Amino acid sequence: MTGEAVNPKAYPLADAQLSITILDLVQQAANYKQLKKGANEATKTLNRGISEFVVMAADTEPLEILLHLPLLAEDKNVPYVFVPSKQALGRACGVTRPVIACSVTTNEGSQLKSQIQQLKDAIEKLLI
Amino acid sequence: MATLADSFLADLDELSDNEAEIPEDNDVDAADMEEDVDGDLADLENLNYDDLDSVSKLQKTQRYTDIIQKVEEALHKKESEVLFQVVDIEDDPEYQLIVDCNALSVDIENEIVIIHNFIRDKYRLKFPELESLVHHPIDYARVVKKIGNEMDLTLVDLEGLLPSAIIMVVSVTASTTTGKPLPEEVLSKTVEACDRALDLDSAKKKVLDFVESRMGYIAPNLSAIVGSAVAAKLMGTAGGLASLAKMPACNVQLLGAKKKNLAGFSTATSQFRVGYLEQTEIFQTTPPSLRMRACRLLAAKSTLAARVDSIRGDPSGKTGRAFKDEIHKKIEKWQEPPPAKQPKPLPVPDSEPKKKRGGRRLRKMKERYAITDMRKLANRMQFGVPEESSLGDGLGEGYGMLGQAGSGKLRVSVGQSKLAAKVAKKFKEKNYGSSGATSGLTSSLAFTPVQGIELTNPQAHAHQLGSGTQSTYFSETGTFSKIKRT
Repeated sequence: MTGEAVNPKAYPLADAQLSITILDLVQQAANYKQLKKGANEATKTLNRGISEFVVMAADTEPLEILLHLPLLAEDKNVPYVFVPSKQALGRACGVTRPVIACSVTTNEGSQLKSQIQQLKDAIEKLLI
Repeated sequence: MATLADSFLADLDELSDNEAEIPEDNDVDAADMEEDVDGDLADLENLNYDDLDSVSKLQKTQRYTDIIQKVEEALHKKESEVLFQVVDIEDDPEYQLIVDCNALSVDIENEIVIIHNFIRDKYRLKFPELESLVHHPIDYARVVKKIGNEMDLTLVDLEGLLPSAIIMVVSVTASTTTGKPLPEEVLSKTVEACDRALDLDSAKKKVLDFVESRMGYIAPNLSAIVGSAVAAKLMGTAGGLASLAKMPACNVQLLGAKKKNLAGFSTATSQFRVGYLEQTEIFQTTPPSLRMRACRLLAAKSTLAARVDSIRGDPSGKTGRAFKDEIHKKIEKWQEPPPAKQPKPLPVPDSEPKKKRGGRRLRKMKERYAITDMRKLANRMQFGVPEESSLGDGLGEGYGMLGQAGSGKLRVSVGQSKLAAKVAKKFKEKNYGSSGATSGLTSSLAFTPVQGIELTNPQAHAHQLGSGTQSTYFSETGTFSKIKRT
């Protein structure tokens, strides 16, 4: 994976440490039923306004099939981030197939609220 | 940036659909603002919308006139004259015209709905049931224009305007309608509104033809999958390519779906209605049993292709052709029969030798449940000697060698088994019964731990000497230091 050139359109791309943190939180969100898996469901959460942040895979082929999500996320003021591997993202979501996009949803009173807020701050720092 | 602005304009149009009042599509100008205020006041004063111009203003806007004129000019160009410059994509006037046409087709659609509401309100006095029989606005306008003020519908020829079944229903309903002929003034307004709706419909067709001819340039990947015509319709209904790209695939599947075509007819025999995607070549060549799955697959891949096109990821359309090949392969895969069942051989027999069990517990179990000597003799036959039976002459149960030892009894003197010997030995050790010797100090009543109170016969053991537990000092038969064996 390190030998391949990452698509420059996949911006902001998380580094190795932040990717591990993101995938850990995605897995916890899957356990807490606060995760929507797939590009179509992520689009729906953005349209409904219940998305906390959106995670996308940078090695999607072709990458353009999920580049509408950053546009939607910018409209809805939702942080978005790319992780290097769709296989790892699928494993974190708890499915056997690769996942190219997923969205962590909002839930008031959830135990993940503080972790989600910290990760949103970290993602927004990438854009500076 | 122009694309984003038009997307915002389409979003504003979509937002205005949710308003309580009928939306008025105008450019935002000061003069138009004043006209809007006057229009609202007119609406408040007269809720019957007497004047068509107060509710329908699209055809009088400069934007509409300019776009229609440009479309007519562009359609007359030859295909070879159309030269696209990829470098200055957003500055190309042709591309800008196509983007405007997408927005205009949505506006025309909204305008037709407004005019349809106007016609329906006016014509309800004449024929109240017609709006529930004919649902399409353009068909409704044609029928209204054809019928006019005619009361006897058998004189009106509706052939070519509606399906035969609906023509029959309309004719039967017209013979029992409660409507009255319209005044001439109202009828002329209604016919004028019908003419305007038909003009808008033809203008929309012209715009869509233009967009369709340029679809290979605007959305090459989407056109490769579903064809130019369906791609133009999808973009027109969704409100542009950017809006189409932002839709989930399940919404794209339902674009153009009509639910009212089956009014009055049973849904048990109706075809599966899916919208625009059913007009594609892939869907039509699929067997009917697989069409629902093919429709979902088409919607998913079309959405991916639209997303690639919306950011111009692949202008050559290679991604769309790859998706199309993938769709074809999957549909062919579905049509293959399942593999034939192979004859399954018998499982390999268990070839291991049987394990022998031993040990003290098993030996005692076998001894306890072993066959008795009596049963062994009964199962055995001696050669040349007939056996006795319970009923005589071979009837009943045969006795085998039982009872042939010489005596006539069927009893068998059993050999002493180890278990029985052990039990008897243990029982004898606990025998506390008195002996045959009777002395003045003992009684014939004895207590044993096995049987409780036991009466013994003193004479039965007269021949035996007393045991060590009994006092033999005063015995009658006792002698000094000499004991005779009997």
